[in-house]
Amino acid sequence: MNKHIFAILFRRFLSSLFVLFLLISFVFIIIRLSPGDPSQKYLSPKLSPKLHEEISKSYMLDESITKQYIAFAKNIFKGDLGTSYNYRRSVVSVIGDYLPFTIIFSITSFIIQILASTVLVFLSLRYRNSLIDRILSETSNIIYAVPVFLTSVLLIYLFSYQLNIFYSSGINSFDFENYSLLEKILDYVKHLTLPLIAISLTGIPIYYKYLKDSIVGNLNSNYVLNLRSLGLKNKEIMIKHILPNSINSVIAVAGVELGILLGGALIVETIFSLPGMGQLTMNAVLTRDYPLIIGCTLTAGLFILIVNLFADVIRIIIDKRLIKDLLT
Amino acid sequence: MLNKLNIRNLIIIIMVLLLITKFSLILEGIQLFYFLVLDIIVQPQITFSQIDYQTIDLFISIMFFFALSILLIKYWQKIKFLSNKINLSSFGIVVLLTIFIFAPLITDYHPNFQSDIRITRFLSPLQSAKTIHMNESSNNNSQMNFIKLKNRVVKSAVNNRVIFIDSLIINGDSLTIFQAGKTKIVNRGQILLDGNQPVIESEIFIFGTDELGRDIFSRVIYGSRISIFIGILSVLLSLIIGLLFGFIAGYYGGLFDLVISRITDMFMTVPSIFFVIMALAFFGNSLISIIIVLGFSGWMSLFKIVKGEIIIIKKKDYFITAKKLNLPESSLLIKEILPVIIIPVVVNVVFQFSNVILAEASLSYLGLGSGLNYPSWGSMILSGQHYMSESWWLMIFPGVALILTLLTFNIFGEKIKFHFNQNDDQ
Repeated sequence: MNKHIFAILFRRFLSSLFVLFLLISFVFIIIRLSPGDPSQKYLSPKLSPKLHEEISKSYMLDESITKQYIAFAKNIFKGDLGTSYNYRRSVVSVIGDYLPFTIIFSITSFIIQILASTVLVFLSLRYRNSLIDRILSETSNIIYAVPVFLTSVLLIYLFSYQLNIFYSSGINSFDFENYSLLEKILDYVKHLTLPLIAISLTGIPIYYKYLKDSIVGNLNSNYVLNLRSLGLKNKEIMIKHILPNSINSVIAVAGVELGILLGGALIVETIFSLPGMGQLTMNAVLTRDYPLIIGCTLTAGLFILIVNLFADVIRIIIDKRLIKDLLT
Repeated sequence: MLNKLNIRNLIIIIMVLLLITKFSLILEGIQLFYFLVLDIIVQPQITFSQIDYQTIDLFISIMFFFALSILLIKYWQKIKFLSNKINLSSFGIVVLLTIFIFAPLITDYHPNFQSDIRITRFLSPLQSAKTIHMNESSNNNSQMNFIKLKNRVVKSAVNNRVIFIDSLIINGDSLTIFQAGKTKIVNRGQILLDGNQPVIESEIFIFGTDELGRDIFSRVIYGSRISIFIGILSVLLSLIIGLLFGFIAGYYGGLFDLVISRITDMFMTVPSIFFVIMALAFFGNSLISIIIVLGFSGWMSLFKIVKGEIIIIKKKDYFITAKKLNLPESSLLIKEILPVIIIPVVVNVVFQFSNVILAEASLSYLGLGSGLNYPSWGSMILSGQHYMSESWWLMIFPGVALILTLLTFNIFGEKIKFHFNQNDDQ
């Protein structure tokens, strides 16, 4: 039975990979169709046009789009993403430089979001319909409406400018190498607290709302009433019956959100100038670094696929009935 | 007190307030229209060249003002939703619509109006600046009534007839003007005089001015207008695409379904902001391209909803009966399918609207919107954040406007969703 499920999931993953390939082909074609020539960046107009031709040739920019695309597709299947125009290194190694930060940063903030929202949900369930509950849900509504760039700027103003507790940009200080281990950790904390708060504040209201809505929906349902009439304790009902039922939709949302986070938190990384995938993608797009754009898109897409796959597996483990939905 | 108000009362209050505070402007607008009609007959070419966007805008606003008043009086009790009690979302929507329609009546300045930056930059909220006026007859040699009145009534980005001053000294026939350390000597004849003294007025800036001396209040008002405009058009675009694709894929199924679903999957494998930034960076960022790009990035969820609902409807008895009766496809769509899918679609559209407004603000904040061509909340926040420590109002007012707008539409969406879900349960 289990093997069967994983075979289905694997097949689904493969078809998603194919879709991802279609996507980067689409991106490839869009990029080539758009006006602008990356070779112009290296050359001043004073240099001879021959040099321009040579550079165009070395990047295959003088060929037709179909020929370029065939070469591109061949290379993708070989696992070769090409050389970044900006960094003059292979795209894989450039992404390798930026990826660890994004993974650590997004997983940390993801954990913070899940923990904080769970605690808040249980707090407002404990005091349901009281003042605390109402304040919590109103605040979460308001925070949900505050754009992340506004939160970031206000946080920087308050904590970096007025109170001078945290730093506003980068991930470590200038003389980081000379610090002792404790100082290094403190330095990281001082640099990364504000971006973590800013990005977590966007996620907490979402999880809070989903989790609370589905738990409240289950609390009012008939099966809970039945269990209660059988004399089960509230705690037992909550842990054994309500949570597994309500956590499913939250996991689906969490899968999507984590996938997006791993693709790079574009705005937060730009504001706090953090060396992550979002920043890299943004710069690649703005400087027309074609191979790097494809690489970044591919990475973001892969992350979303993998995380969604994980989310599906977890959901199936919790609730076997979902296999039917996934089959269709 | 607020609990007893309904939407109708709120609209009346707003209209009366507008009528009282802007009575002269409305009258002059009507007069301007009268002159326009007269002058078009006499000198059509010159008059047409003088009609610009701001003038038409003013006319439309005044027209709407009277049309709305007449409609309200005529259908006083008939429109049912007007007697709903006010809450945050309906209040916000009424205010936003008012701003959207009556922006030229509400604001005192053109959003890009700049003059004498030395004095007008970084004025804090409610601070005023002294002005003297140039004598109109001296530098306005046109004899046409329309142009004369238009120069006075319609706000434009350039206005040479107003000079902002700190103080002035009169020496005989010339005036010495002090403008934040700069002195300027003006001939007495050029200045509008009241008896022997120059007329000194004080202009108040409700929300203060920004680093280029522009009025933040009117920039916020016009910014909301642009946001709503972009929101409506791009949501309309995603609505059309989503409905069309969803209908084709759900109704015909087969190959259509397969192809469109793969395309949808393709767009959903990567966060839509990637596409948006790519498209804007490569194909330019004019207002139209922003609308198109945001519209194209938002149709996927609508498509999924429409397709899912249609697949369910196709199996329902009433639909099969209708089909067996040989109803044409258009009436199947309009009479059988649309009433069912309209509820989830409306909920989705409201949330999509707030997403688009947020996306537009984020793009302008990243410098990818066409923020320099029109006042946009995002670009106002971007330029305001540099002066946060000395002049908080540059960033706070557009920020609050953005948050309140998003909040309004989020709550509105939740309300509709809740309302319809309740009906479903019963």
